[in-house]
Amino acid sequence: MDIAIKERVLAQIRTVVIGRDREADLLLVAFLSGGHVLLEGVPGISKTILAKAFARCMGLDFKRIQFTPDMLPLDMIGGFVFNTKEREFEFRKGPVFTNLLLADEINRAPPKVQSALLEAMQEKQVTVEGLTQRLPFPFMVIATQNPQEFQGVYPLPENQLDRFLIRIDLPYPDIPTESMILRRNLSDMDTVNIEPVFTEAELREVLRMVEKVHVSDEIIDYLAIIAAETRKDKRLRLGASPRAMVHLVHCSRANAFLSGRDFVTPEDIKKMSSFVLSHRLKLDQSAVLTGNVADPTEVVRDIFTKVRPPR
Amino acid sequence: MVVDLVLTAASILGFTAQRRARPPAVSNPLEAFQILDRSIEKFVPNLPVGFTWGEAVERLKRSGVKLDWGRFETSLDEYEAFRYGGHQMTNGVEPEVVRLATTLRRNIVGYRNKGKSPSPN
Repeated sequence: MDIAIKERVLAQIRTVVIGRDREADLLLVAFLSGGHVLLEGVPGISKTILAKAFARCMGLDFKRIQFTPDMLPLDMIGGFVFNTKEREFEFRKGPVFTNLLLADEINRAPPKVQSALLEAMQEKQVTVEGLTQRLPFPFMVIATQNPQEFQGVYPLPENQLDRFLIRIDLPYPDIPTESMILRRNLSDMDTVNIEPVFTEAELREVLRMVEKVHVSDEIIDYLAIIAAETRKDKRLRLGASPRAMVHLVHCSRANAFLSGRDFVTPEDIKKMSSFVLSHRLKLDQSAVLTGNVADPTEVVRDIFTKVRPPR
Repeated sequence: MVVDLVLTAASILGFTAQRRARPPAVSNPLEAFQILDRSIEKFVPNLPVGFTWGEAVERLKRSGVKLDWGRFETSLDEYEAFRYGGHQMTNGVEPEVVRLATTLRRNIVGYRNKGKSPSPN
């Protein structure tokens, strides 16, 4: 059933998005883990259509917010407006009240808006003037940012990056994939043709099954050693937080489930590690300047080659 | 005297080679996989300490090791379900697991763990 779920989702997404199976798979893992995703890539590489297609095939309500420097938190979470008929203030919900929110170019919004969104991501609720409103279930944010932009952006600080379950780097498509994209008629790329894969009841059942995936004590100990190694590594200024490791367990569970297993293996941990950890680790500047390391992903890979997994 | 020494050395070497060539005696699947794990660590070069079963299998397949990989992988799945999932192991020792360990010990893969890369086949 589980492998079938993944195949059904990927098959639906492939009808509109070409060559993004890896990314769609990771979105599914993040969704089943109850987390949020940071998509990084230059404009025009199908970030929005991928998010839209994913929302549609999961049967989720979808909204998109284009973040800008003049945005206010109320533009996103909503606020009180005066109802002249009833002669009282009433809460008007903002676009954050949805199942899947695409926060486009999150690093263009000022820190107040970013932190309001991150609070919604963490608590799955928003509070305006003392009124707390629960966000719909399920709630997932897919935020995008262009790593090449340096002007007029507000980079996400470490504590906010830590809230994202996974970060996915979207590279340019390779030549055969790009040829396929170019050949395809643009009118075909409409997400309305995508069929929802789940009903809400099935979705709840699937999420319940993911939570039941077994993580052995030895795997937990293995993760604890990995965490300690990231904190000891001289090439890093900031190692993995306990939250990062909890997120890695969640993602590994979802990956195991999608692979048709009810237990996590070191393979699951390894596969998910760079997506879960690399955006949270901060490189030591002296290590970068001396050419010892250029990317946190290298450090993650290195650590995993040195630590013996339970076999 | 010299002849005696040469003969003794030759018989020791012969005995060691014979022992290595003999399939290891295993009583249960868990033991078989433990022996295989040690054989992989010892005889497959350039495989980091942190290797997983999947990575080792991929490497050995690429090296051209002849084995009934389907049967081996079925047994590995069962072992992993036992090892990481707490499931019961219902089948006995899979001969292909023992055969792989023996192949590695006999150095049939074509290389020793001396830092050399495997031949590209």
